[in-house]
Amino acid sequence: MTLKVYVPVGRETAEKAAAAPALASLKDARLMLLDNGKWNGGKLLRYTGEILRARAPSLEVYFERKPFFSRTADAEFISRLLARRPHAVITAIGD
Amino acid sequence: MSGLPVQEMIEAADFAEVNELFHARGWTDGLPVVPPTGELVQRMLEGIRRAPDEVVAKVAPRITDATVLDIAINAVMAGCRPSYLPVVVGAVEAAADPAFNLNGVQATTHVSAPLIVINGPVRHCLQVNCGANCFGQGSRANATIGRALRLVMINLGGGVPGVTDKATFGHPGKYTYCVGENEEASPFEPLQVELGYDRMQSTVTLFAAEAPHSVTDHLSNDPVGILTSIADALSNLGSNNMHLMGQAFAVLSPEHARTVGAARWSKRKVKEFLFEKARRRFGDLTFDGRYGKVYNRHWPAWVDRDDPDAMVPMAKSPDDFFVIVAGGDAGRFSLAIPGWGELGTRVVSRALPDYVNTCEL
Repeated sequence: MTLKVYVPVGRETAEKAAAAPALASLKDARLMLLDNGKWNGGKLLRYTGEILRARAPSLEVYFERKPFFSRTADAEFISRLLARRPHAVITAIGD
Repeated sequence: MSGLPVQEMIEAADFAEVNELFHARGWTDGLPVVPPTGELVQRMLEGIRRAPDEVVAKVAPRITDATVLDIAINAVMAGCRPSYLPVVVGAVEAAADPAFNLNGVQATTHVSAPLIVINGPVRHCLQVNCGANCFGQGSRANATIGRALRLVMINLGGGVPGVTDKATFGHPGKYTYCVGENEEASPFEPLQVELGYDRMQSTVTLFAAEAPHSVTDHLSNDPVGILTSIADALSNLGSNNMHLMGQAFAVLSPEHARTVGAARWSKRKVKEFLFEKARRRFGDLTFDGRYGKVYNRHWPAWVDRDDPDAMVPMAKSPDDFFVIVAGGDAGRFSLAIPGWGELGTRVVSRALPDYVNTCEL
């Protein structure tokens, strides 16, 4: 006699999102550096921005910071980010 | 199983094979589980007056629609009795409240785990341990209600250690972390009344908490001494609250509570005292500048960063301190339970349906 048991994991409902394709060129692109608020992640991002701008002087780089690292960004914050129409976003985490 | 929504099932030879299979697929907390057979799940659902296919919460970070049936399956696995199911469902609903921030609680590197506090008449019906060793082993309700929430967080929420659950350490409360308030031993209004409910309302309250830290004080015979000991334990240098601010629990033993109550201190006065006393010197918190200048935007603006003797609070308000009474009659100990931190999470409660108070299930 076998045991028939329920699978306990339910049904996932979140939509899967694919990563955006890499930019063909940094020339005249708008790059957003999104700091999640961790102490050292922001430093890494700013350094990354400096390196990229040195490679592509026409690159427009701007910096945003989530209100708090442990919370999902709310819709208003995301709308504000999208309004700046970045071509690419780089984020970083880490203490 | 007639009447149950269609849900995927699998077959295994016996108890041992079910457990091997579930362990291999990551569907357990590492301990053996009760196989969720159709018969046991059906019996579990008799403990709640809600439709099995009702979606009660979205469980992060996997974002799964948790139905009553899904939760019942995990409650069976945890070893719950059917009468516990409304409490487990209430705990899942509280966990999914945006204020609790389950996504963050599941993913954080911090140790925190949801502490479940049960209040009201349901404690007696379910024999929730509010007394001796209430944070320890021995009570089926405490052990399995907390475990059921954890299994929901694993199986529906997708909290996989090292993958989505990035806790550096975690703590033993991640297996189960559930107590009842010893309302009968308290000189204060119980937690659910503080939170705006009627005393006869049964509730479940969640707090993303560090492990309980014992506070020994056999010397003090007044509230000032006892509460100073608790405040000091809450505001230690490594406490998450000291760096991020936030809510905290102080759990008074009946002996300590009697001393505080005999001095006619109200719960409000206790909370205000803890708010004033649970502070650290700016110089201590910043190692007197050893690692450079520190601002810490989480601390209040009024803290003078140029004064090493300025006192930094661990919370923004007396309301951030939750004071409950629990534990056995003997022992001049209390517990300090810091939290995960301000903005990360907030205490969330849910009222339980009145039928849980009838002890009929």
